Amino acid sequence: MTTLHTSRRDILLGSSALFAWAFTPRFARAEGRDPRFLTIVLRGALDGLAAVVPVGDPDWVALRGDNALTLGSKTAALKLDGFFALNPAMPNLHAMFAAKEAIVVHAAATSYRERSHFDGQDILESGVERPGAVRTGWLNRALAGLTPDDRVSSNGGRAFAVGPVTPLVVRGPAPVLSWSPRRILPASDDTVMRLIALYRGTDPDFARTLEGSRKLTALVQEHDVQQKPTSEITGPNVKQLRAYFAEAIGAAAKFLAEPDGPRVGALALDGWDTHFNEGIARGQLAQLLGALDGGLAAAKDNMGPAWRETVIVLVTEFGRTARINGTLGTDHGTATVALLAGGALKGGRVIADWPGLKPSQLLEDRDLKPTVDLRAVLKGLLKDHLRADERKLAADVFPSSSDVKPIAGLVASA
Amino acid sequence: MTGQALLGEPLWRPPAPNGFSDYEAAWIDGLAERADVASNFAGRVADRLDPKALVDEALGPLASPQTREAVNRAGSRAQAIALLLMSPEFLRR
Repeated sequence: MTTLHTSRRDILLGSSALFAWAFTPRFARAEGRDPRFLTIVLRGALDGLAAVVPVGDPDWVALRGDNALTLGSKTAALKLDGFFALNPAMPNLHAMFAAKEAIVVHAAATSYRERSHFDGQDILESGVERPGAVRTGWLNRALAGLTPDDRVSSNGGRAFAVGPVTPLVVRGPAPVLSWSPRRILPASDDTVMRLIALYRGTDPDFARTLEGSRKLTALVQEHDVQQKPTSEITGPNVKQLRAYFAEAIGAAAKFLAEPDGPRVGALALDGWDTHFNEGIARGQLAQLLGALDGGLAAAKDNMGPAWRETVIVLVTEFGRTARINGTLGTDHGTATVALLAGGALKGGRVIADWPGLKPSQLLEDRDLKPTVDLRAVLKGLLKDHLRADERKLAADVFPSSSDVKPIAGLVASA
Repeated sequence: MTGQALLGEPLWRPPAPNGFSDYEAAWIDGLAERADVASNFAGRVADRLDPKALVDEALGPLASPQTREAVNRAGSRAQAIALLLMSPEFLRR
């Protein structure tokens, strides 16, 4: 018991002194351009088929049944091209796509093929094929590898991180600043549901108490909605979620927009692990995607004229099962989407070598089959947008990835 | 500090001269708020703590199989740590 007491106290004492404050480094400007690059990591594995829907695939509706979003759904998906449509919770991203400021890359995956979130996130963020092999991220190593002649100089340059924890993707030899939103995000619905499930099996008193307070919260929220009728998706925590995402992504954009501010940054957003009641059209996932969409809109607003020199890339550790599971959710899968937004893109395109959705076309008759290596997307952006050296990209940034060629032409004036 | 106040135990200001209550009823009602604080706190330390090792360090043999499973299956390190901090073994010691 002594050990337990000590560790518990150690953990509780760890809660202070966690923040570094941002300052504004100066970058050299070459080529008369001043590129901005923001990486957003979506932790928990985003359901790519729910975010960007293959409405043109003849097997789509059969695969997801009543949960399949279509152009004719009650909450209709937003058309992107002749084959794909966007989740209706993302009207701002849809507008960016129409303005050629967004790209979707579908059926993409890292090299990871197992099903652990922790390991999957390690590989996604480190850029190294073995989980836990290094303690640095590809974005930081890319920044550290830039020479003064490159488009963004690392001479005096800094990356920055938004959020209480610096994500692995931006940790490493190049110095990192961090900033955290003042706003406190309550425990997510997903976390509370997991706690209730845990308590049901271990501590009925806790289970009753927590279920009781959740009902209360839901009632209060419902009351709010009745007073102010709106067509918006609502539920417990939705307002806080939207405010938090908007503040976090919006703040990142403000830093990037500063004339002498940092040019490269990262942040991570949790909550995409939708095993239960995924809520693709109006529930949990729609709320998250809506909050993300609002965050992207805030970023564009806050960037001002710098938006046309910006690329934001949204990545996740892996996808989810192609079919819906027994609890109206999806389980850990393989391929998913990467979303790109920003005025520097040659946008308005969905890039995909579509693998198909027939049982024989799915990976192990289960997951969307990966046909694009996510590293090819990231290498393409780092090379053309930040002018990172291709050999360094293949050796240091994404080690032993010389077979994975950068995708060319993602950026407009590269 | 805000977290502590939210949990009903503001620093230096116990609600009665004999200090904070040891009775369960006094704090169990704040379980949802406690989850918010745990979740927030976990988000701040997730880069420095390995959830699986933390279960062994903090709970060791006291950790129930259900708690271990919940931690291992969490969607992020931060969520795993929040679940550990909110596990009955951790809260009830």
